[in-house]
Amino acid sequence: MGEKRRLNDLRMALLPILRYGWYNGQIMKLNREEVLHIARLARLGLTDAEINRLREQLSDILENFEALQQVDTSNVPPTAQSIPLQNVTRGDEVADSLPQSQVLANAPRKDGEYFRVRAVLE
Amino acid sequence: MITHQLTIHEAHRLLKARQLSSVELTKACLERIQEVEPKIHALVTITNELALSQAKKADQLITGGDIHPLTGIPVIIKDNMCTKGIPTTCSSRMLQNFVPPYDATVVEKLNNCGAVIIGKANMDEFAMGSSTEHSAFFPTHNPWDPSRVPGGSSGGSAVAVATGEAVYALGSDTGGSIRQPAGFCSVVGLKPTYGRVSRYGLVAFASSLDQIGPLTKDVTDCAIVLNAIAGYDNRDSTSVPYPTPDYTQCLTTDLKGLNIGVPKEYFVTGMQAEVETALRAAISKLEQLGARVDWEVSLPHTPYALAVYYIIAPSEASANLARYDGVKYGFSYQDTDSIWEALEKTRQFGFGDEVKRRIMLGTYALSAGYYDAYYLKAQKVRTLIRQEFDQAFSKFDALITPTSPTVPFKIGEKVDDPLQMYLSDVCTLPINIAGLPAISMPAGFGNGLPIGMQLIGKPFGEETILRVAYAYEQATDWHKRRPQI
Repeated sequence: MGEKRRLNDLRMALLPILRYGWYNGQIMKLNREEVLHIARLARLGLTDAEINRLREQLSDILENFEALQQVDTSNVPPTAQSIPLQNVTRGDEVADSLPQSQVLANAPRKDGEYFRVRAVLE
Repeated sequence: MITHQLTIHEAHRLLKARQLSSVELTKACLERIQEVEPKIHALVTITNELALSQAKKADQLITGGDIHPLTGIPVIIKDNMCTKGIPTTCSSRMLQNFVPPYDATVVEKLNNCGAVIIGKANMDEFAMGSSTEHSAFFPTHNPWDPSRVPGGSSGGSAVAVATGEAVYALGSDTGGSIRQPAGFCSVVGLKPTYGRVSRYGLVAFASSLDQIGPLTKDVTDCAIVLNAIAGYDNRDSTSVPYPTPDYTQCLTTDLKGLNIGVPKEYFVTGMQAEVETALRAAISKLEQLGARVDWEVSLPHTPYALAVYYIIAPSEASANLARYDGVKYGFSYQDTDSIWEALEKTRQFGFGDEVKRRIMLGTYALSAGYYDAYYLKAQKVRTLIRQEFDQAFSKFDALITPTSPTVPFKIGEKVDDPLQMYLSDVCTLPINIAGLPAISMPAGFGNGLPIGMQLIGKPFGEETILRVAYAYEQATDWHKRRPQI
């Protein structure tokens, strides 16, 4: 299972190169496996109808965004946010925090003073 | 005088003169809610009891002579801002039962002014949408024509103000979500400069673009609310430690010496003729008021803003929404022993179509192999868009555009066509990309449907756009018209 997944991940990582030929080609419609791959990365369950609809819609949207590749951005730095603040730190000061009962109040499953989760290792 | 139609400054004057009590004003709004809510569905939660107890307290404050311009005035909060002890759903099944243990900074600030919180407003789920049709609960209707959308994502907030369910409202704006519904409902909506208002307690959608702002009946009210919510907050590391002016001091009717630019790229594809006519008339009015207008400004990267936005915003959203895992709060799928199945089904059943679409789009743009082509490329073009605005603002004090290329569209018209829906934000989203302040205000009607005008300012230049907006407002009477509902 793990082996198959890794192979699949590798194939998916190479897909952009196949798809674009280094970003110069036309985008093709997303296939079902690609949609499922993205859904798995996002931990998002999808029905068959949703997968088909997303294939169409995401392909359409991405095709429209191809226009961006025409913009010359050589020597242009990226902007992550728009204000001139950097490395904002806070003082190391003791302050009140929420009481445990309030932190746990919205928890779907709890066990005493803990959040209860399912086993991570199968 | 119809009580529910009062502005903040009118109500404040009456409260101060003891010609009206906060309880009376609050009851007038609650009655208005009973009257119009079945037709427009603007609210997710109505907080009758809280509102009346806050109103009583406000009346005591006023009797004691302790009155802020917002004391005793009913407000509606968009349902993505945390309100302690009051459900905060983001109009999503995921948070349908979520009750925050703390207040957002803006809510805390309003409470400190003696505000009266009367309800929480419907919105597109997690603020993703332009019509409020993507609410998981119900769509909100435009009070000027209930067969049409009110805009979004702060549609409930805009409708609540337009109909007098509250005197004012708070919204949030990631790509136009305050301004576009303000334009569609003929109210005033301001997106402040990124960093001007604390985002602490605002449920995150796209963290580098989100900003909270007021929706009000006129420009004076907008300045009053901005005064109350602006300012540095050490709980939001992107809030800026700059001093905040008194925004009501900049409201003058003379525009002599102001240079205003009209970027021609905002007047092209898909724009309705009535919108263009109204905007040209409004700009001529500003010239009459003394402003120097350049009609031929060019911001050539504008056409790329849509793609930049719909790569960056979903990318940030896909990361922000990773927290909904059904463990700490929110909807949680229980019927399995597998952690992976629980995660996938929690998110499958908890999120609606548009949210899923954006999570998928963002995850794709950030995934191995596509990051450079999409996300990094979009961030670079973001730099060019910002630089272009900076250059324009070396010559102009403000820029003016329509808020939306069209009047409000029909409910159902675009809901199954995401690209068409995205295009309705084409005039507003470049401003979030650049982090600038912008206000939408009433600028006329086309066949009885509202048309909005957008004024864009330089970073932390809210005073200038408020001044222009105020001068235009005082010279026109669009803002005095109310929907017949």
